[in-house]
Amino acid sequence: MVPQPPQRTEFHFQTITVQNLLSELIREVTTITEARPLQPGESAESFVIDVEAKLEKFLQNAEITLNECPVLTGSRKGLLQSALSDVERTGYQMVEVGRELIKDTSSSERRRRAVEAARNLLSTMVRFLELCDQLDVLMIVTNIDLAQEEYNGLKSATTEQEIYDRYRAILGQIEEIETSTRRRVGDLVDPSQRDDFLAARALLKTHTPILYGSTKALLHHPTNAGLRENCEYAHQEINHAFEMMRRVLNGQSGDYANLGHAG
Amino acid sequence: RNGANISPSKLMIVERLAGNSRQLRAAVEELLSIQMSLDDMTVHSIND
Repeated sequence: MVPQPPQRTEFHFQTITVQNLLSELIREVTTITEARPLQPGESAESFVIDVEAKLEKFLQNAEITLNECPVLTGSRKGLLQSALSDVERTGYQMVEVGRELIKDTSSSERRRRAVEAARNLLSTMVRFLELCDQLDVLMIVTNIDLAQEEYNGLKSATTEQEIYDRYRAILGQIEEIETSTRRRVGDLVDPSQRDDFLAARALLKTHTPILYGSTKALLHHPTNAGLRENCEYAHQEINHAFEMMRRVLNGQSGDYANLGHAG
Repeated sequence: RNGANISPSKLMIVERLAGNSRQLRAAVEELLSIQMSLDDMTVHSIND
């Protein structure tokens, strides 16, 4: 079977870690010029066995990791599974072609086929990791959505106890968002995105206690226009902060000015 | 009420697979770089 070239999509490396990893993987395998003679006691077969073992380890770990992913559902699941099947297919092709290569490493035709198989395998692996990176972003955004729901619930709370409970839950969620984004944000390729995200986080932290205090006060003085205004303003700023976070995580500018902020 | 946060330990799928990816690439690279001598190939065919 002729190996199919992997489907390419436009991809923008968002984090330095992913950029380094993927660049390293797609480094041109055809540039291998240094021949390595077999050492005494070494068998060529062991190199093929090693590729097969590493492939199986990758597939196994990928399968486990995907199964544990709580946001992998529907068409996205199909997409990831199909990308992983591509790694499996091109991986076993590599093993097969590698076995042929070691029967005669001087054959340029066998070497050409092996290099092509290697390129196909590494391309499918990169494609799979690109999709995994998008999944990482989706998980963080899901946490942000959950936190925003909690904030919205604060507005409709009818007792002081409910306001307090929701506020406690919100503090927990802010901490969760901080933990899950800390490394990724520090790792962003674009420093302006990093600044935007940090600004959003500061906005969230500043306005959360204001929202809590004004919501509680409004419960006792529902006709106080000033309190209502404070409450709505804090809520609006918090929504802006969430929007900025989502934009940065999705690779866009989180520029506050573009979000309709009046200043 | 939700409270169903996604644990950070389950984040960063790419990081969890990075080591395996590098190892697989290195193994492929090793395989492609071997250049056997005539003697090695004779031994290999006998073993086959």
